[in-house]
Amino acid sequence: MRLSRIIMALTVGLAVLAAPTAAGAAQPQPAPGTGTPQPPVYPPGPATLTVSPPTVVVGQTATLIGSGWTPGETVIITVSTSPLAAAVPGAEQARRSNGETVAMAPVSFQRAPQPSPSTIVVTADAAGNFRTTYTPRHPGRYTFRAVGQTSGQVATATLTVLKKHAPALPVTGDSLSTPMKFGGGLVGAGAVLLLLSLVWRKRHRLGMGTAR
Amino acid sequence: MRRALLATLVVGSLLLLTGGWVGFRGWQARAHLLNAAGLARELSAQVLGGDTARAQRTLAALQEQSGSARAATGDPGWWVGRRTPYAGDNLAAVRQISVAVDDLARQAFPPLLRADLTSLVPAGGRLDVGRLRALSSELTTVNSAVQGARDSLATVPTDGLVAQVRQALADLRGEMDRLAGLTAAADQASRVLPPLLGADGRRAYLVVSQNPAELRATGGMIGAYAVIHAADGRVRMGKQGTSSALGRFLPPLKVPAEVRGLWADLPGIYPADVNLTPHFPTAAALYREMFRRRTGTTVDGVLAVDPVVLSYLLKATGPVMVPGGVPLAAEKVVQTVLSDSYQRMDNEKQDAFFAASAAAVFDALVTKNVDPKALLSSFDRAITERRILFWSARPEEQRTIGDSRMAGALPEKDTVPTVGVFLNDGSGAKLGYYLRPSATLTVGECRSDGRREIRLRVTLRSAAPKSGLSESVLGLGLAGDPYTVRTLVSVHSPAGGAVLAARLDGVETAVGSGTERRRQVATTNVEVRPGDSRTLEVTVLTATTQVGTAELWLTPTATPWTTQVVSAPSCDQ
Repeated sequence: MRLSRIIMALTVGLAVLAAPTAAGAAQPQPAPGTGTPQPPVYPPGPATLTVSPPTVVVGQTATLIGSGWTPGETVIITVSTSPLAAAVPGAEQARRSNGETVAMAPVSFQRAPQPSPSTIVVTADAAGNFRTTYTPRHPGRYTFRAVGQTSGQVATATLTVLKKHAPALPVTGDSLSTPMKFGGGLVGAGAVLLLLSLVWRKRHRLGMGTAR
Repeated sequence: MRRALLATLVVGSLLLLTGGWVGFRGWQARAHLLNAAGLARELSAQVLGGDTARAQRTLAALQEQSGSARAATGDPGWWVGRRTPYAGDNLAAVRQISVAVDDLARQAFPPLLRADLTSLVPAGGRLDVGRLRALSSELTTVNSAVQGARDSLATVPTDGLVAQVRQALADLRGEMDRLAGLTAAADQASRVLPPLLGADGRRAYLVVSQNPAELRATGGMIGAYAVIHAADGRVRMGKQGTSSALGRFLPPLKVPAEVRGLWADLPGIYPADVNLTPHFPTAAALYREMFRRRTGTTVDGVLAVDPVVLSYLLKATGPVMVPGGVPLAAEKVVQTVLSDSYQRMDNEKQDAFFAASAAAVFDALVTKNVDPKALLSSFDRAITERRILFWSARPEEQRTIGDSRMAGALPEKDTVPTVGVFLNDGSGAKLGYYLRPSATLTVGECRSDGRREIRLRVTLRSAAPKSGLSESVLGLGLAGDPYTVRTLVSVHSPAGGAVLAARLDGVETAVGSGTERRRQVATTNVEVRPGDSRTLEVTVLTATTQVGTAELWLTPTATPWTTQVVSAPSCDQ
């Protein structure tokens, strides 16, 4: 227990030593450059290229929305895709018969189909906004990279495109299975009883005929 | 007929005899185990109190009791009993409990007592790293014994046990989990700390303070740094400086492609923006490189803390007097440091004030008799809330600490689906202090493709006043109205998942979107006027999962988050 206290005191000591540095946070940051748009002000601004919704299923349409561009400028958006099932490095492992594990590298993904169209050209309005739609034909991760032809401004947005999955209704777990099993069991038991009673009646009738 | 009767009689009396014997031995084992439990409690109190002589005697008694329990449950009668239906499971469980307790008493506790832990108390500002390293092998033995006992207990099936045995097993498992957590941490610390503290050569670290008044994903803008030198267990503070003095970096430093897609080159240009990403290793590596380019000094790692940590420590130490200043207490310190100081003091006075407060708290930690339990819990809280982060520039060291909470590494794979909510200030002000964030996570339906929907609801309320704040608080006022807080809220989907849709105050909203470490990221601008609150609802999708729970990973804030997670049954039920 002493040990943990020591380790703690040590780390805490380091932490406390650092506290004076909080003061530095109060120091003024470099003033934003006046007149020149580059480099940007240090706090991040709202995204200049957004997507709604960020995930669609194949065939559904997503809207790309731009804001904060130079009024009237031409913006060229290039579209590229990558497969959804990005492998985790080192996570895919297989076990050999002798117990060793080997890392599995994905060798061939189905070739990511080229998106169509692969370029969209839009023009920002007088307020520097634009709006366009995109309907993907294949599942995957779509990256839109917008480059303002006047401002040189660059922004990217990502759209996830999922496979269509059949039922519109959600699968609500297996909560039905217990009543189903129970009901099925009852039906089965009923059938057996019915059969038995049939057999019994038949035997009975026959028995009456033969024994007496 | 007679022979059959005789045989039945013999078998019957044999059964009765065995049953009686097992019952008697069971009763003995129970008594021994109860004694052992009492002794173990006594032992831990004596070890904590540093009473080594009595601890030795207690340990001897404990070993005797646990040995007897083991013997009572190890004889042939018991062996036969364990193979009977119904009673067998219970007897087997009692046997395994006895073995686990005895293993602890024989393998784990003696080396713990042998190791003279008092020799580790830092003397003259130096920790004896050589001694710590020597202890390391002992701690490894202890840890492996504890982990072994814990694992063997974990395999005992609980189904069909009588209530008493089940309860005893559950209690013991809980205790063992706690003990195993402690010994694992101590073992790891004893191996990692000596090199970190300069046992194999001098080390230098950057200690940076994150300022939650101006939020960044890992906690707050890094305002300033101090260099810490460690040599052979001795820690000394070196050069101090501010982020703004590091200037900006053009052309920008190389930023990981995914981060660049989300934040452009900002993290590579400004030291104040390195932690726009929540992945601390990326932020720390960028800051280290910026420091190297400006000063020519290469450090071995980066440690980040925030002023809220100070408030947790003050809870353990009690109020502290700052010489020539105000009394510093846990309840007020965050306000004093993050709000009042910006209102009242100029930069120079602030520096002096913070230095004095930190020194006073450190002094209290060393001189006051601080309750180790309180200190442990405040430290634990700070780490749990990710207010203390560490990154080592040495890959082999980073690997050993890589999955602990202190590393702040965003994992590429989830054990439980984890939704990240990270806040970055967009107003260029110190208004983050006034934010009151809350988040609710509701696990939704299972889908036919094996994925699961999770609904996230984030509410940001601003407690900022409508007037009267100083210019240094209001800063750049990028949201237009200087009292409005602009926060860029980034929601990270679970690993392998996606962000389906976002609604701000009930209206579908377009989001900035990208990916980071196998998670889809959706960023929304949330602007909150003084006294108002705004609600962002985001639906995310997990990767294929059976689990019905979920976890939140949040930016630590000045006023801690209010959170709720609503779980659902797992999908295979």
